[in-house]
Amino acid sequence: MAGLKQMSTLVQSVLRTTGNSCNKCGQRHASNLYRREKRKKEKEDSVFQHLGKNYQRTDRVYVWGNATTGALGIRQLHRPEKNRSTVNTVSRPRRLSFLDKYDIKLSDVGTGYGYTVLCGKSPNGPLLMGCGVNLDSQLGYQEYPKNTGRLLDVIIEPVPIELPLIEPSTTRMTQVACGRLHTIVLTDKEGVYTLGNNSYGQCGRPTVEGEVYRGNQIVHKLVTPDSNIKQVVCGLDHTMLLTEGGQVYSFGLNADGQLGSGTYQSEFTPTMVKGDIEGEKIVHIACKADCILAVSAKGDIFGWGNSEYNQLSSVTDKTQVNIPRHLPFKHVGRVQRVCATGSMCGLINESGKVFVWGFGILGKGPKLQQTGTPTEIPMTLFGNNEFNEDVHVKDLQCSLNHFAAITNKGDLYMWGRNIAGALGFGHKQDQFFPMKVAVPCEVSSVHCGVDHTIAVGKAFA
Amino acid sequence: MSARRVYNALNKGGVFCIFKPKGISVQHCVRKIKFNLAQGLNHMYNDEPLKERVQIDEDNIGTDLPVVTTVPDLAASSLVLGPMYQPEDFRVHYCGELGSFASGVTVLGIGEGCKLVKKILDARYIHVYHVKGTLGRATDNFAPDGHLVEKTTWNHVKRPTIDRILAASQALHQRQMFLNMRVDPQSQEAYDIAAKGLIRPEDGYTAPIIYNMKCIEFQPPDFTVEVHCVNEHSKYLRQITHNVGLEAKSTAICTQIRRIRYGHFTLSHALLDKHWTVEHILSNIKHCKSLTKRSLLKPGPNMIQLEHRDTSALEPGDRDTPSLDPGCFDAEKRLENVPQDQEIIKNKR
Repeated sequence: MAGLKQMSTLVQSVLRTTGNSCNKCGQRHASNLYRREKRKKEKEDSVFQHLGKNYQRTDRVYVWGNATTGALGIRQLHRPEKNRSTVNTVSRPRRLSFLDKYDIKLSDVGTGYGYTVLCGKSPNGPLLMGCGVNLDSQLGYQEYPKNTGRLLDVIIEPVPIELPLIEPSTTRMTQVACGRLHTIVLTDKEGVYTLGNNSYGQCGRPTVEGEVYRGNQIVHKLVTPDSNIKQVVCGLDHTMLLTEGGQVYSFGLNADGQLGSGTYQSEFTPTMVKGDIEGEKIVHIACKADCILAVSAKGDIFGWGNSEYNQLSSVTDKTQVNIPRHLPFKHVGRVQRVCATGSMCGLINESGKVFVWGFGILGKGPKLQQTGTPTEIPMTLFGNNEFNEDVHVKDLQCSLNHFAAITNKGDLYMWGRNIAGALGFGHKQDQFFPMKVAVPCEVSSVHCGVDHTIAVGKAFA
Repeated sequence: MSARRVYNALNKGGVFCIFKPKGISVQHCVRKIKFNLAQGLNHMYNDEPLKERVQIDEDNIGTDLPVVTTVPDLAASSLVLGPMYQPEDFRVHYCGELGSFASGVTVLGIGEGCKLVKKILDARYIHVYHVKGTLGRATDNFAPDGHLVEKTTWNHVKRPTIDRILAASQALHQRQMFLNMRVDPQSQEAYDIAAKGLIRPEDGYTAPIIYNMKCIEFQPPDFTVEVHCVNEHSKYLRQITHNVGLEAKSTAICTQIRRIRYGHFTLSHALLDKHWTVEHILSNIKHCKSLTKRSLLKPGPNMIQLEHRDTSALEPGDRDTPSLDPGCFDAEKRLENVPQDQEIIKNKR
């Protein structure tokens, strides 16, 4: 019996040291055990569901860059909560939660000089919205309160832009393009509308001497020569239209020969671009400033406009080319897409490789500043290595001073001059080779303004 | 071969690699190897005939000359001296920590080879792991034995979801790779290094850098991720599965971590714990000698060791990267293979 007693005291002492014991006597009571077991069982039985009812991969929109213009569309940056200060630059990607709040699905985004135009679909129907600088009515006539004439010069959160549509409930806005001070909207069945500054005829209507553009209520419906418009593109002060048939029409400022009409005379009516692209089927055009590049269905590139920075030096010594010229770059193969900043040009060939030329931060280190012929950026910089050999670039976009590339894996890479943190690296230093931006979604498209960037993508899960 | 010569050979040493089993620490493995070596050498020593000693018998009856004979020297017997070799007589160092939760290839240096251990660490080889996870549960230490935090649904998780999450996470680590290089990112030098390909960290104290991550097996709720990384630790690998679970709007725990490659040392080189004997270790040192050439340990900013990989040292069947070969994880197959390899080496000798 003595042995048993010893055993029981030993067990008790062991129990005391293992914890979960009574605070008063140090023993483990049966009632406690019951409660413990019950709690444990409850935890085992309850299964959480972190998903909503209608689960699907949601669209996500991230914005970063200069916030002072209001182009980022985040209200809290200008009207902060209590004990917070206003934010001038957002140097890392930040979610645009406005769209989630009102359940808006984007179809296209246009980024101009300090303003943004978003087109998409809300539960109530198609919607066109804008935010940012509105000094030239590039976001339409915006006043608040209504019917007071108090104009909104800077809009800090997306507001609807009203177009004089015949069927506003069914007509969808498919594409938006933004220039320096004007906006072009392409609809699916009611043609093209233009808003904003028309001092060079870039809105497609006759210029009026002394017209005041601030608080201007004019939304012009463009008379297009062809009803099937595939793409609208804006330079700084001119506009290009690409038709399904592969013809290019242009209007606006022509000081550098941007219109490709053979003259340097500005025009307000869409005129067909001739020269070397006549007879070719153009599938893609790109310009952000005064140099224009176009790609034909055969994979050839054509260029016209400004050539001060050796963009077109392979065919001409002139600094201005007013007629499209074929650029004979044989070593790049068939070209898929192009982009043209103010001084640099880039292209993607059929195997998804990136070539750049021109003047500026081209993406090959600080040494290479100027080149007239396309040079390849190594694919290793886009994440193509021994482990991932199937990575290629599928989209290349640019602003005036920087490039943005999207790979087939949905990663966003940016390089160039870092104006107001528009590269999204968390600092304001220039980037001399492609670097991945930490966007927490699978990026499907990116839109570069002069000092802000908008990335549209899908959530991972 | 005498025990003395074997001991000298072990002392001259080199590098060998073992397969650390789950549940014990690397230090424990080292202790066990030292014990095995001492035991093996003592057996050899005991089996040898004793040294002979000259005995001169002076007081011989009938002759004037002393008689000279040789007798076994009992002073050298282990019955007198005790065990000839002690575990402390061997110097064994290991490359890199591998937690007791994990298992896999571990590189050890013995004798003079301990100097190579630091060089191997400085070479910053890529380590390849297979990390297994199970969806639907979350514990406080990301392992199955931790306290349950919550249970979740996992039926919505499909393979593309996991692929996307892993690809994005890996691409972010490549960014980390650039930030860790000790060169001004605005310089031409930075571009030149970056354009060459993968960059290795300068030292072993950076945050873990992942070069590749992909899902190689998905049988819900279980999934296996192959991770190529540097400067990682066991808990970080467990955290990967946890993060994958959270990103997929569920939760996950880590059920197994297996290191299948340590630079050039692969599963085909590793000794199972039943082969941690004098004979096998000696042959493994010989086998691993070509993997520690100076060219393979060359320092530099880029991950060049994958290009420089010397395939001549491996058996013909192992020439393909064994990291992706599912056969090498089949335990039974491995058990058959290892003794055969050793026999081949013996025959060559």
